[in-house]
Amino acid sequence: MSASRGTGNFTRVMSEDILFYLVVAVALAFDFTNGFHDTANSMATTIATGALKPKQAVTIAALLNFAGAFISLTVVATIAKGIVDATAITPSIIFAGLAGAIAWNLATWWFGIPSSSSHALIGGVVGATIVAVGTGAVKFDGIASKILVPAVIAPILAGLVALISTVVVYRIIKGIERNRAERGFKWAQIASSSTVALAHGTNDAQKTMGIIVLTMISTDRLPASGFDVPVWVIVACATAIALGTYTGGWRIIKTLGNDVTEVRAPQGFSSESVAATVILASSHFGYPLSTTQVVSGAVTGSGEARPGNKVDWSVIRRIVVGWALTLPAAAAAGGAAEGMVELFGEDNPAVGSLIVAVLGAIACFFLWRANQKSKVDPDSVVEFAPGPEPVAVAA
Amino acid sequence: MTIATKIVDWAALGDVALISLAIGLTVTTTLAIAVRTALAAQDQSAEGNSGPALVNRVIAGLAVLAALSVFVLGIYEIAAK
Repeated sequence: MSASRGTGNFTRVMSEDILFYLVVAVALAFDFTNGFHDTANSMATTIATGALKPKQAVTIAALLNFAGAFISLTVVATIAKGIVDATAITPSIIFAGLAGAIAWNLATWWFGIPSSSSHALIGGVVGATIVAVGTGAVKFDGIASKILVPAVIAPILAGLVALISTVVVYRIIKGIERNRAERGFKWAQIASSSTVALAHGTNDAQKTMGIIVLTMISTDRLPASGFDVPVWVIVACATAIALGTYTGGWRIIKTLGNDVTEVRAPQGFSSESVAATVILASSHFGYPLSTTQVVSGAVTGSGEARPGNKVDWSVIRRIVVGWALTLPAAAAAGGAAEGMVELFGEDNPAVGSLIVAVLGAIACFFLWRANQKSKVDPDSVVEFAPGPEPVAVAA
Repeated sequence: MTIATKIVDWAALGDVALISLAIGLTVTTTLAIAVRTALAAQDQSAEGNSGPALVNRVIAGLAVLAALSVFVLGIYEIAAK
């Protein structure tokens, strides 16, 4: 009897350990996808204008994302706060939410859509929570205020400011020979893009730290309050996001740098400077906006403002549809993952999670194989070299 | 309290919009002036007008410093929270 109880305890502890390490591994995998998904935010326009070569750009972005992860820890342990009932969260729900977020991040990367990784993460956790404990644990007011409203505001605000800024910039440089002006703006563009990369690392690496800390609290590895974030968590998250950034989400870089509009250095500088300003201002006032949506809006606004330039609105429509689908699709994926965890691990969530993780890894392998056949890489990411065009003034 | 005021922090949103517009425009304008004056300084140096060239270089340098300090302050604000 006592031997059987001892074996049961051992199995339970082993299962908890396995589940914990699995959540940590999947959280770092999400952090990696977050990095390569969002490289475009800081470096797409810089690559498009030739201010930096693709590999140089992703290296700088990776280093700044890594450094940014060490700057602040304010977001840690607040992830999903106000979105779902924190007392309902279990490691297996976190696992399923992360799996859903990764699935949506990979899907949007495949189609080259710059969608918000944070929204995918929240969608995944919401979906998994609904399947696990029902809609009662979801705070729909929080979703509206933290996701839906900012999703509308971010691109419009950044787009408008970038539009005005670009008009002003082109008025200031009116009459200067284009190549000379572009050389000057390329340096300014590198500075503004680097600021976006640093701000991105500061904000986004913390989300994964928050997930790991939440799991540590729920498994009694950390106290619920008055804890210090373990150094290994900070280093692991910083490394994962930096590696992801270095890998470069070339498909999304191509969309933002080439497909939305043709980007020139003054315009790219304007959009990245405005994006950096909006991101920093929103962080300062505690109204966090999606970096992806801010940058996409700024690129569109500045593209519309450059004299003689056109924005491809069919690409914008595709991006907006991607944004609209992010929350429900990630929620559906997170819910499906939670359903599979419960199906395969009725008595032991660790077993279910392990099976889902293996299935996910197999799916990733096939996606990687498919990507080899239609690869967008550093050599093919820039489709055109900007041709000669005199600097003109906006009408 | 209406639903709109419940789910949207209009005060914070207004601050973000105003500050973004003000600082965004200031930074881009300042750096654009830096580029313009730096190029003008190059031309003046080539023409042998060292006085005006020096003035333009100083303006360009100050403009770059001002714009960069805004970015540094922004990052510092996040770090200090």
